[in-house]
Amino acid sequence: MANLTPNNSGRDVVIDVRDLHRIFETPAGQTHALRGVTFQVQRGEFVAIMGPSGSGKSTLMNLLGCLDTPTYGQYFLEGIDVSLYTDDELADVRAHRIGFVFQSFNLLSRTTVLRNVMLPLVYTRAPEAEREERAAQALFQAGLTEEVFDKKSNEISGGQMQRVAIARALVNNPAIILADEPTGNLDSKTGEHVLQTFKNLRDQGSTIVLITHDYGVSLHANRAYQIRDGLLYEGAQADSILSSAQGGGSHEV
Amino acid sequence: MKFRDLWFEIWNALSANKGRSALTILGIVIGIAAVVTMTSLIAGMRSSLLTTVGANQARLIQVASINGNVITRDDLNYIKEHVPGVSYTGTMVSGEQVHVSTDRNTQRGLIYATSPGVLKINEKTYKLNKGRYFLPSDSDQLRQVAILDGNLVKQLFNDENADVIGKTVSLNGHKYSIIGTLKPASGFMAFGGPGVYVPLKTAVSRLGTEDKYDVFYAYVDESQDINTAKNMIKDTHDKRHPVKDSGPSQMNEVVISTDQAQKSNFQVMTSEDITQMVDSITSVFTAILGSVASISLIVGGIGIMNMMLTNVSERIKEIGLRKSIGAKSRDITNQFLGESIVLCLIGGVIGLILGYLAALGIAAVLSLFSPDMSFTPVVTPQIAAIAFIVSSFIGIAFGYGPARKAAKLDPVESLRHQ
Repeated sequence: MANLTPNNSGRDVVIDVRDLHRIFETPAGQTHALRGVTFQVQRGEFVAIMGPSGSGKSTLMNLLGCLDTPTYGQYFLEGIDVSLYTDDELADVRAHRIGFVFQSFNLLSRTTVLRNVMLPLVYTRAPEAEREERAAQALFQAGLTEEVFDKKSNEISGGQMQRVAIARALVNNPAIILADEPTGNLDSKTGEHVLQTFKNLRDQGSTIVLITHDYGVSLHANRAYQIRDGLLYEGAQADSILSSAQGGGSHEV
Repeated sequence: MKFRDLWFEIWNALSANKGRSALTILGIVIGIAAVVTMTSLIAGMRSSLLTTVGANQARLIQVASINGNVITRDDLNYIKEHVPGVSYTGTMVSGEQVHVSTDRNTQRGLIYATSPGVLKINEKTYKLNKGRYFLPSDSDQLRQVAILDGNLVKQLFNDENADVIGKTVSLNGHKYSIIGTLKPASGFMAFGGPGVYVPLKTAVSRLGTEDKYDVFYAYVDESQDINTAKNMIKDTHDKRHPVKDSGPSQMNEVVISTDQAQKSNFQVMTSEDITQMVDSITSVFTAILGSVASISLIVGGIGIMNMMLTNVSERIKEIGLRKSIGAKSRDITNQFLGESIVLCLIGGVIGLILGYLAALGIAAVLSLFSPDMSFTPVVTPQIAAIAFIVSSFIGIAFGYGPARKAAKLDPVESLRHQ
């Protein structure tokens, strides 16, 4: 049963991470990528996690996305402790509760836009009669029109491709959308459009966690965290991260 | 993952690169085609051989002399009178080649002195085209009548279906009336040249054919079990012509029946025995040639595995994507294994078709060089089933490794792959 943590805003907690550690065994020895991360994300929030390369943000994203399991600690997704799940159980969680948006879009070039968005419905075994309609609705939600539905991914722009990826992430009505550097391969103007799309989705009730190294991107979120050397630091407002980065010291959660 | 979705993903992946898919299955196509060519040629030869040796008559027993012992007309009569269930005995003696002439044309034909009824009881082998078979009175009254093989009819009258009933041909200067024609003999039946069938007593009396035989036929009616009749014929005939205790036999004695432990001057065979004998020969050829051809299938399978491994390497990111949106390891395994199996099945079907066409071509070329050796290759349901099973097996055997490799890929590493 879901175990909802009370919070100030009265909204339920979608992500509840408690003392999360991830240690990698390498030929050179152990790498302690996450050193006890604890935080929460509530439903309908748009949260950014910012950090430089090697800070552990990708490791954290992989754990949040159930692509990996922690060495120890707990991760509650919609109240369910997924930290001890098997591979198949994690696959089910990814199918039903998580939507990914990648930096490099990761669309299948051999199929149409509509088919790309329908692909996650294959793994949730959604009724075939509903799939096209659901995919179309997700594409509209991501700000696209019907004229791109039958195009292949190499026939549309980068911004459109990322929106298709967003639609694909939405199609199963996930608990969270995890976006990994979603504007990394886009020019600034297109990137702004994509970020606006995320904000629109947030306004429609989606919960979004965005991973980025760019503090300018993080300004679009409600809240931002900074991750450094495997530890998470929260800024009450995004501005505080900028000022702390400019020598104001770190704010540890 | 539902089966329809799996099928769609497999087909979508394979058709995305048709050229590569076609090259991938080339080894399977060639391997299956080679196996099908060999086996269908042998199956066709077997069928022709069985027809020639009369293995298609379920109620017929053949008695052949070995050790040089002759069979006489008295033997035939005795068997018919003393073995229950035997309703007919008869023989066919091949004589010499003669000149067969019309007023316009002369060809060579081989005389077959035939008991009345022998052609009829072997009617699946000697198919009547026009006219009639011999009657007992044709032989008893020494009538100068003849039945011509269709090939001879064509040579003499330019058309195997020509209505020549009632016309006269000359056999070494003696006039004979044509009372029937047969469908043209083919395959091994045509070996030795086209036949002229003449009643037995007529041939003995007028054409100098010896009234001694080295084979005869017995027809067993439904009242008697065929194997019981066979044993009784053998026992009866052996008693009439016992083996002389004079040292080693001069010819090999081929014993067909499993309960024929004693030496005998005769080989007694039902159609089932004949079929087994032919099969024992053809199955060896099939096994040897099929095994050789199968080597190419192994090469084809290695090609499949190689291409599937390349496929997996090129689609690492796709595998990572599928896992990120909920594909389980078995979904990935099923998809890649399915691609391998479908490729091999397509190759198997194409190989089956090409193999049969190649067999037809080879048989046609053989018949050009040796018309006596013409036969039709046969693709039996067993051959088709073997092609299907072997193709599937290769797809599974050589596709499983790459499919498992794909399934075991770490999604995080896969998504990072450049």
